[in-house]
Amino acid sequence: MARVMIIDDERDLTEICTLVLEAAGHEVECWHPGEPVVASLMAFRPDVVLLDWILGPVRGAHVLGMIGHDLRVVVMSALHGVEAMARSLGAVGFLPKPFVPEELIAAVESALYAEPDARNA
Amino acid sequence: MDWRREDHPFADLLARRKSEIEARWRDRVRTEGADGTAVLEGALSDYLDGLARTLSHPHAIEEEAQVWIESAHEHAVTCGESFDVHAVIHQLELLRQVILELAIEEGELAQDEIVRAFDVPIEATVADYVRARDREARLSEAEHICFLTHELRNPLAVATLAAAQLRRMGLPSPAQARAAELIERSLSRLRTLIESAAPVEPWRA
Repeated sequence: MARVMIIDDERDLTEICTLVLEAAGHEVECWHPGEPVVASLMAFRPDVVLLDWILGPVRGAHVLGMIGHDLRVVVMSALHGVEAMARSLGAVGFLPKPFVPEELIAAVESALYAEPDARNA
Repeated sequence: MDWRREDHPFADLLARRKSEIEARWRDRVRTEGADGTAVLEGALSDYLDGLARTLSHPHAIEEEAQVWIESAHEHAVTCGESFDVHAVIHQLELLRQVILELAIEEGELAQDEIVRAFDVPIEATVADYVRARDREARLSEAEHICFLTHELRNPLAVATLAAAQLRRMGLPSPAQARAAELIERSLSRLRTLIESAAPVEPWRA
């Protein structure tokens, strides 16, 4: 079981991802738009972070830059061409939208067991 | 180099009466132009010199046409406006009229060279305008499709996950399970359609 924090401003998506991951046995917390992202992460201390790339005015890339080398982050995005950039900022996984439950669960579990030397510098 | 040559009377006319041509053209643009703006003002002097060279050396006529196009582009960038092909062509026509009037005043009857010398830049201007508009339309279409595919992927992700989760949770009746299966299949088709229509994102390395 993993502690997963979902950082995405699409409420419907965070809700359905929560349902899927909780059904798979994980503990899930969702970031709420307007709250400081880093403070939310520090309060929950997740094993894996699912981070939206766009994320409205906050910018997922900016958040990833701050946390990418300290936390296991899987970037989710409807922009399929940003994977290389996300990995260069420290993401250990990339989940292109749309995805099915099996892909979501596999991405979280793959990130959970990512070897430290497999994380991109 | 002195472009005044006896066997090219128009080249000589352009050199001798260049200031007058420029003044008459500006006046004509002010009174007959769509908004009085001399789109080609910045390139006029260079163009008249180039036109004189063209009349002296006819093989150089297509090279000189580029001066007008570059001037129109530069003007459009400075003003933040689109390349106005109608203004460019109209002002080229006004210049042709001014030069022909001066030629008639001097008793020159062979006006074919002047007429032909303006046909080339006008044709080149129109061709360049069409190419520029076509490029803009293609870029706009690609950007629109890119935006659309991005916006469709988020709700599609929600629907895909929700339909699959319903199936995983087990629906009580075969009819409900079948309905969920149909939803998943349709969503899968939508996903395939969107991915096949998605253009390469401009930021993709």
